[in-house]
Amino acid sequence: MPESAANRIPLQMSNNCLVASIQIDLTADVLEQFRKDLLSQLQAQHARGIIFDLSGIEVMDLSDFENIRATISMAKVMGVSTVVCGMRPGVVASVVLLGADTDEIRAARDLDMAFELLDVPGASEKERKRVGDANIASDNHS
Amino acid sequence: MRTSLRIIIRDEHSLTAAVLEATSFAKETGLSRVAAQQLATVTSELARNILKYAGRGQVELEALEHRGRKGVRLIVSDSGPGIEDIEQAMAEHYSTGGTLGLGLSGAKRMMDHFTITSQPGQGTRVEAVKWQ
Repeated sequence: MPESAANRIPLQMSNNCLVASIQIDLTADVLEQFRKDLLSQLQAQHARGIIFDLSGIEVMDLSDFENIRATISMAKVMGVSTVVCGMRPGVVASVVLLGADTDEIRAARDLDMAFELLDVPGASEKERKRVGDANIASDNHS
Repeated sequence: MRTSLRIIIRDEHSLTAAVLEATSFAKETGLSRVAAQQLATVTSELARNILKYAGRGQVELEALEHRGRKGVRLIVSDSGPGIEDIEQAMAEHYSTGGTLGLGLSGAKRMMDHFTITSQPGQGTRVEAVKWQ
């Protein structure tokens, strides 16, 4: 497996939303690859919204935050809005104390709330799981 | 248990290594998870300044204990161009290269003790302490 594949942030469609589960340490390379992947997915698929699950991130400095914020702005210009969810207390305290501009960030405590904020109908846990499984099944057949 | 640690900062990879080391060192020393994350963030912020302005420098971590209380001393230093006006660099919205001004005042807020010394042409040294 090439190194870039190991350092990729996975993106998957769930209930018509593109969900990015960010569970690896952030570097400029990882974030750049992620931006490319996300924007090309937005072009290829019709997503109602984007969710960044940031629960796996331990440390985020200002330039990581600014990088993510710029990616959110780009997605917005492509017509899709983003909700971030699951940020840990230490990470939240750090970015706010560092003076990051969080005003335009839409945030939710967890994935369920993120789907709610994006106004996705029928986004209950069961429903999403069913839709997610169906997507995987159809991928296997294609 | 390690009582001190030194990491040379010269590229993005060493910065990432320093951040990971700062997190684990702080946890080993007895800092809470949130305190460890803040120490790591400050390490990242200051190490990024090294890459941006000096190109090369180092991060040192030292375990502290004072009357049963544990803490970590962080020293980030370089021999780069230094800072002309520290007061201005510490000011809320001052920056010469993107994030410096914000990073320094924010970093200070996250630590229990924070001193910065710099001479133009002779580099910059930040010494900071985070207690458990």
